[in-house]
Amino acid sequence: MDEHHYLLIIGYLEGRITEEETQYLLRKVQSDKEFSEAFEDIAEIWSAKKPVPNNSNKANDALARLNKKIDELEQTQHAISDQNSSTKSAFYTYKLRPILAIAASIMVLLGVFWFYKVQISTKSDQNTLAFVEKHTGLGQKKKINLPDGTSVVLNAASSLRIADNFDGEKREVYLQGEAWFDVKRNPQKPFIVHTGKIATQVLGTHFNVSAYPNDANITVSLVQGKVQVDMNNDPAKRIILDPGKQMTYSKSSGQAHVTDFITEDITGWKENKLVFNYDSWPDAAKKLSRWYGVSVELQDSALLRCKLKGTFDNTPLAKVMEQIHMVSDISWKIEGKKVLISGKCN
Amino acid sequence: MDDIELLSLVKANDREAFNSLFIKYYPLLSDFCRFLGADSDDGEDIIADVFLDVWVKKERLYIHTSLKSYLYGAVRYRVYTLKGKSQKMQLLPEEYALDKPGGDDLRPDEILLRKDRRLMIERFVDELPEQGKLIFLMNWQHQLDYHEIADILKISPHTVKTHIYRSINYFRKRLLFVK
Repeated sequence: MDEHHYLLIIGYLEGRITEEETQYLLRKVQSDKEFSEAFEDIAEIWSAKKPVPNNSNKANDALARLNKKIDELEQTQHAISDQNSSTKSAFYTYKLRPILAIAASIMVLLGVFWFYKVQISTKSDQNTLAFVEKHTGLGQKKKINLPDGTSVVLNAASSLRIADNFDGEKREVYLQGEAWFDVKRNPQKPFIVHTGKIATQVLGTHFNVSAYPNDANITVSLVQGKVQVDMNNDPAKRIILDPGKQMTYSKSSGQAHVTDFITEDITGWKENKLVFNYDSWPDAAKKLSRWYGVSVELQDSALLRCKLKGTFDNTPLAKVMEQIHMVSDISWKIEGKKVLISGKCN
Repeated sequence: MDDIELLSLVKANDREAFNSLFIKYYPLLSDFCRFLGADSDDGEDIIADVFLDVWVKKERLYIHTSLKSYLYGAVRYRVYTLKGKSQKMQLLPEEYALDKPGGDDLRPDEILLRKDRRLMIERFVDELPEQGKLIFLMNWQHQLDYHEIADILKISPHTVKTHIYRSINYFRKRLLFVK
């Protein structure tokens, strides 16, 4: 008896083999005496197996001790962070420095823009905006500075349209796709992002909106400040988001729910990080296709149920596929502008 | 809820989800510690440490296989760190002690026969070489598949399969001898 046949029998006893393999095995048991003897022996060994001892009292006791330990740990951490708030602020300035640098460069750009704008408006009195709509193609990203000092980073395959009266009472923009907003604070002029039935209103803040037409959900994720999300213009359905919270609106059910999120999972794309955050394969395929400008074909229905988690920092497509292949049961092929993926969940 | 959902709740600071993962895996991991030769006190400490680590690092925890493999792998690593890799497995005594009377519908002689068979096979398991025994128990008792075992023990799936093949061959020889 060879290794393959032993493992097939074990697979059968564990209920892990396919229908075809089962058929093969049953035929073999009937026709092959050596095989059927092996089957009997292994079945006997397997029937002698006992369940893993499960002492729930012991588990509960151990859990109670662990929870006490965690509580103590978290209390001391709070105490420490309260005591040296100076270290904390040092930490924040460290983290803020790149943001300040970006802010400074925006200021410079803004200055140039302002100058340019003044130049234009003196020449012609018609349109104060240099553009009304910006698009990105597949695999593209664009940074846009709005005249009010707000900066927007547009993810791939997205478009941002600016309302005609952007300089008026309200600052309104229309988004299709995904964008990161760093809104310049101005309490007199609320900033509103329209995405289909969802309107996200803010005063000044950092947040991400993802609203691709072919995605099932619209998500609004708030990093800093406060935003107000309205659905279908219905004040009863209004949601106010706090930092660290994400609203997910299902287009099919018209319902929304709020969860926590990890900033990098949502905003990683700005730093060229392709992030899969427990995305189903169909969603992951859409992300891949937008990111790399390819079409992605899932060839096995078994893939529909899988979820994918991982971050790829500035990684070429073939390498991403290879890394996914290494940790899961998928195989892949690139044919020109097309990626073919087959396999199953691991 | 499956592990992926529970883990994403844990990452969102959900203690209930964390507790249910602990309750789900504690018996398995505690048994696994025993396979690795850790006594039950050490085992409990090690499992608690692994879970404490999951909780503390939850925001940056990156699990590239499955939570199950991750937990087994982390427990194994800690047992080896604590005991040194040379630690002998000390199996079975606890199993004998825990053994409850067999099925209700069986006649006394059948119970005896079954229990005898079971004890006999357990003895065969105990006769396997160290690594083979560990791998066989992980597959047989804990229903881990070849990929999971390979992942946890940091060996190739091919090696895992060879060990299982050898164990089965050994049992069959022993069974033949008994018959």
